[in-house]
Amino acid sequence: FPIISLPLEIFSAILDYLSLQDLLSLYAVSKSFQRLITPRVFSHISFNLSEGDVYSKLLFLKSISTSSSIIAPAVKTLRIDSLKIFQKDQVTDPVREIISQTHEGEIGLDKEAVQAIVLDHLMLCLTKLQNLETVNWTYQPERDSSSCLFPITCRLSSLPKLKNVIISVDSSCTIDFGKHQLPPLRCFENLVSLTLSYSGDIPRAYCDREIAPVIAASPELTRFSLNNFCYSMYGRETKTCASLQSLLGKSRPELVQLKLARVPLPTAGLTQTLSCKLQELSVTTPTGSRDLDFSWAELWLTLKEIRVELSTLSVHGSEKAMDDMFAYLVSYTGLRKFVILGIRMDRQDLEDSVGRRLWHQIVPHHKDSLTELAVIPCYEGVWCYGPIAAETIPQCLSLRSLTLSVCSVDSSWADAKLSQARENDKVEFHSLEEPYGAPENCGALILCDLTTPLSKLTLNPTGNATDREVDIGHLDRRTRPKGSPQLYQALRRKERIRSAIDEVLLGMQASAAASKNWPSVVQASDSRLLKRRSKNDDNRPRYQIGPPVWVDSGCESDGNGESDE
Amino acid sequence: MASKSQDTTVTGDTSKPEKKLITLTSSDNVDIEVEREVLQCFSLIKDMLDDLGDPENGDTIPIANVSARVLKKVIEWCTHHRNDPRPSADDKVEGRDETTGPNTDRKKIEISEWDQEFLKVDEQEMLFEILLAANYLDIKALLDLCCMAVANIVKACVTPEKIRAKFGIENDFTPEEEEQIRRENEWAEQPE
Repeated sequence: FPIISLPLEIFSAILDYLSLQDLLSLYAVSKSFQRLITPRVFSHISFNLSEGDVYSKLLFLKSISTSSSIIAPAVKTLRIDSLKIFQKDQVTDPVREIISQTHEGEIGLDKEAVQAIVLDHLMLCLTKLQNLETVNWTYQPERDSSSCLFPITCRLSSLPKLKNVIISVDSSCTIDFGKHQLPPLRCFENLVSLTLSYSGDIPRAYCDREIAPVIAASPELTRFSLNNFCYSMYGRETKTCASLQSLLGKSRPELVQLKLARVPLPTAGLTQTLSCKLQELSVTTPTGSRDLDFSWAELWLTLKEIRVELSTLSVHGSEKAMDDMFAYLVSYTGLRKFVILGIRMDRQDLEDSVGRRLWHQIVPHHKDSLTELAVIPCYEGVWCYGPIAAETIPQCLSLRSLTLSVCSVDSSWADAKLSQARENDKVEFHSLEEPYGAPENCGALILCDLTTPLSKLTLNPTGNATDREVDIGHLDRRTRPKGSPQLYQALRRKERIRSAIDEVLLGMQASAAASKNWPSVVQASDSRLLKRRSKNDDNRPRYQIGPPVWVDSGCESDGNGESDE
Repeated sequence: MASKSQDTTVTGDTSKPEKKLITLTSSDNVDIEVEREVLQCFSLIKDMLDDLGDPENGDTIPIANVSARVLKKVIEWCTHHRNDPRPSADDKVEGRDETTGPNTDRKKIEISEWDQEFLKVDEQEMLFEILLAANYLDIKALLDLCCMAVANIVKACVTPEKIRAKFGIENDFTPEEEEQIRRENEWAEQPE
């Protein structure tokens, strides 16, 4: 019974269950499989000249460039990682052989010459990707040859279906746009989505001459993301990057999604800049928007004024205008995803009173719509999981993903909660820490009164409140904590809490009914997940250690991190 | 989705409520009696019964594309799963759980023990016939299960050679083409 003669939609449903590796095996089975699977396997391809044998890359480029290629029309997303041959031994004799067949007289081809020829083939190949929709290009000015910037961009921009451009410029030094070339964005037009990440401060001239023009030439632009100082854990002073107002300019695209990291947003002209169709907003500034001309207050006032009802909001650095933010958030209902990261206000009492409002007023206001909530303060206090948060969370009946910070809580409160779970739901705890108010037990406490089945719970130990003053001092003086024994102690302490949270959860047993709302996965440690067992067996702990995960560094302070999977 | 048909349940003998039986005729002309309630799984027939009413005085419902052997298997499955909650349109299929985190193998498939036993059919052909029957009779959950089972067979094979052997497919590539395929593999990328 030939599998290949199945109706196409069934065949496709089967393929849905297969990983890329499985698909590649199927691809190599026979010609008819090859035809059927090409669109799936080669919808995403990546080009990275810095590793692997250049020979196979060259042949692939050649085969894609032929008119009979079935791969070229299948490609929808192209990632370009590197345009430079890194090692001499990547250039093998077969490459020289194949090149010398077509390029007569060029004997003793060195790395650079081979690279130039491969890039020529890349250019040719690009013109064949007629169905390409998305390009994701990482450009390193010190590494990649600048002479191919213009030709590549030019060819990409002539592709009819290219609508999404993601460009990352990764440089270890400050770029003088006058001297260095950068991807000529102005070649593009009619984009729907534009993402630019830049390792340093985006030069003003680049903003004016390249970014603003492509936005002006893309009236349909709906998603715009600008990530200044994209690799910095510590915010540096933004001096050259242009403001959102001047980037969007008069063209004022009707953005649905806007992500800004360390981009200025002064007070003037915001009403004329923001789109009333905005649904998803993510903003990252340094703590308290230090060293950045960013008017948080004006942002919230404007959103309220133009009646934007965000469904997704992610903020970092909004400390200076919390009242305005809350006033905006109570002006409507329907927020689905709320992420508030790296909260670090100047004083503990101030932070606690704002935290009380968050849990008493803001979260309850959106309790019917919230599916994802992440609240990550830097220090212990009201923002963390504790009696106040615990009162609110069970009200959110649509919640699927929850991320919280944990710190020590009142032990008698914790004790009461645990006893209640033991008595009412017959939950067994085998590895609790003492005293019961220890941060290590917070995962268990959260599980005890979930009213809705969570798919993911992420827990994050906080820093000591006593560190606040020192940290704020550094921020104000623009200094950085140097590696001190205390810093390493704090890191070790957090790591110990993370693994202890895991241990406590691994030691929990409960009936299927009592644990029906427990999250499918819990993540406390950076590198591993706890998975809920799927089989119902009351005599075994509910959780087991899942596969390791690798999280991008700097996620703790990076409000722009992709939390979606 | 409580259907009106349940109102017709015969009352009377309270100790053992009588189940209404409906007769199906397979493609090879075998009559098979099925409980009315089990037929609720068969979207194709359920729709028909909802529209036309139950067949009366000895009429049977012809199932033109399914043999008796396969039909019995399908009924066996539906009888076991009769009390499963009906999936709503936007429900995710089990096994495609997206909650397992970003970098784990999210395409891992879990099939319940009973279903695994059920799918231990002697020949592959039977599996494909059940699959096609589920498609024809519009039994979504069984169709999904069969697709998973076929996917699992592919996964277990790992190499193209073993897939060919398992499904009896001939290799029609030349050695040069095979070489080219190996080169192409490194370009493919897992979509995010």
